[in-house]
Amino acid sequence: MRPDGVAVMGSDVGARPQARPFTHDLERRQRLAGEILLSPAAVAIILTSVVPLLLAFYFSLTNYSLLAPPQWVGLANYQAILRDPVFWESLRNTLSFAVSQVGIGIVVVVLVAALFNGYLFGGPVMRTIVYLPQAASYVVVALVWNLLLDPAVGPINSALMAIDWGPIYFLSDPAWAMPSIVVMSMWRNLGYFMIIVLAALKSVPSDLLEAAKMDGANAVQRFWTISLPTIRGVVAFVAITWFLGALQMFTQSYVMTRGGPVNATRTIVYLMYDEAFTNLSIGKACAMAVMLFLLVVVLSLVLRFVLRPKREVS
Amino acid sequence: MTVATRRGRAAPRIDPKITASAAFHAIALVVTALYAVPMAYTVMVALTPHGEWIGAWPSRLEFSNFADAFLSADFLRFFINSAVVAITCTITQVVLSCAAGYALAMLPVRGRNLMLLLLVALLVVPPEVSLVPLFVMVSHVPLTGGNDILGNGGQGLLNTLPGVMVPHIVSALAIFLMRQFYISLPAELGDAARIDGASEFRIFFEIYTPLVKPAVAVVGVFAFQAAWNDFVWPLVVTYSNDMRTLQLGLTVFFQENSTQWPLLMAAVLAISVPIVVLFLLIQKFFQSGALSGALK
Repeated sequence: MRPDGVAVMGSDVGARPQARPFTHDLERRQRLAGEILLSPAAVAIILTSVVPLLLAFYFSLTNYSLLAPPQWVGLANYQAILRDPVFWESLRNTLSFAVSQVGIGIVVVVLVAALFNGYLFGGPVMRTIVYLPQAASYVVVALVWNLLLDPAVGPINSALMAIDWGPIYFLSDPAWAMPSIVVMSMWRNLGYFMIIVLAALKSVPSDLLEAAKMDGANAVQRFWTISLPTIRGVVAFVAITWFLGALQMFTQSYVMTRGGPVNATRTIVYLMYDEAFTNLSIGKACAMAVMLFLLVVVLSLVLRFVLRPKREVS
Repeated sequence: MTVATRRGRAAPRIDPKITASAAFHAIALVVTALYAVPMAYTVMVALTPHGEWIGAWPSRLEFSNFADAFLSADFLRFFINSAVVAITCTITQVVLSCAAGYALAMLPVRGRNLMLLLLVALLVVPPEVSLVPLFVMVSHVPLTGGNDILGNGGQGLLNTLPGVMVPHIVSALAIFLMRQFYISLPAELGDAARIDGASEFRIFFEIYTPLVKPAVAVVGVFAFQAAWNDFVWPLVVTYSNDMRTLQLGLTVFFQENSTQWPLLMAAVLAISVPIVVLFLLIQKFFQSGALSGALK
């Protein structure tokens, strides 16, 4: 039999004296096996995700510097943050990064996916090349772009200087820093989202497309009236995922501009990082984390509602 | 087919279909070039000998840049750290998500719906939200790094490799994905094995898990990528070079010697190749639609 099971489940089994021999025994064995299989992951999830989230809420209401135990201060951290102009600047930077990257990016992603969905000589190879950068880290892509955009030795500025347009100090000019990071991030992420949209395009019913072709619709019309409405849900999913991810931008700013010049690329997460690990103000950092959390939850609900698929296909 | 014959025959005027196809090819080539040129440029710089002008054709290909990059600035140490962290986290994530995913899909566990609800809810939580509290927790792990039994007094797991692993040992998304794969398999397989007297663990491990190997590969590669490419967490949890990972070590190296472009690009290539190769290897799983059930 299963002596180990009896030992662990002892109290539970005792609670049900009238056992139907076979089914009850089977269900008990299955339940025990399930608990043994599930509990390590459940404990790990609770410790690494649930508890930190709850602690973020708790610390956000305290004054905590790591050196002394947390002291309850109520909403003081939130009030201080909302009065801080740098917070609003960071929020604006974060939103403009997310809106411009995803707003432009989603159109490019759909167009490029449509391009690769048609017959192309060498299409799979080209698709793979576009897909590669997203496997590399943001650090790696940021470092490559640091070289590409370098005012002294970078190839982009060499080209601009050859036509007397340069040099442009892409990463040290406040007007150029954020657009540069937007372009670099879009460049990296394009391939990942393109693959998802491409998979959706492949699932568009071909009989519909054939029928439209018979009726004389050209490629653009077929794409606009059949393919795009069919993949609408996937495009919305991609836009939401991409947007919510972009709200957490930190690495690109840290590696490329250190949040500068003059806070031009400082994001919410960057501010939170500085607050926690430069100013050792855990309470304020956690208050920002909670605000980011609320922003993400609210925006994901709003976006899901705005971009919800129309109920045209059952 | 009519299209094929029409395209094959040399018509006196240019077929608009051919013009369109040529235009599509041209656009696709431009898009590809926007990716291929920077990559080729990176390779070229990585092979430029020390002291030569960056961006010009190198006079010879300096492959020793790769070795030099790894010999300078503790890169070998960073590489070992990254490998240890990424491989360990891949194993724990695969094991935990297979076990939990199977239990949630196939076994009558109490609190199953609550757990599923929790996993789905966690998918929306940005990892950066837990960054600071997790740092506090890691510094208070009892009986490590000079801490007492209550977790006070020392630095806990800060600046240790287990500390670097913490956020990647488990993933709600991975558990959820594995559950979706297991649940798409027929229950009859397990019932047949049960009648033959197989234990629940054998049914999990020998009957069902071999059927979800593609999913295991995908979850494993994602886990490896998340741990290998992570930057923010190693940045906050380590403070000395001997515990840094590649992504972090590379950034520190760049911020201290930003003009050593050939060495930097050689390092960039060396740390990206493993992950890119892994992605190319699992690409067929994406294309074969192995994920379609789970992404629905």
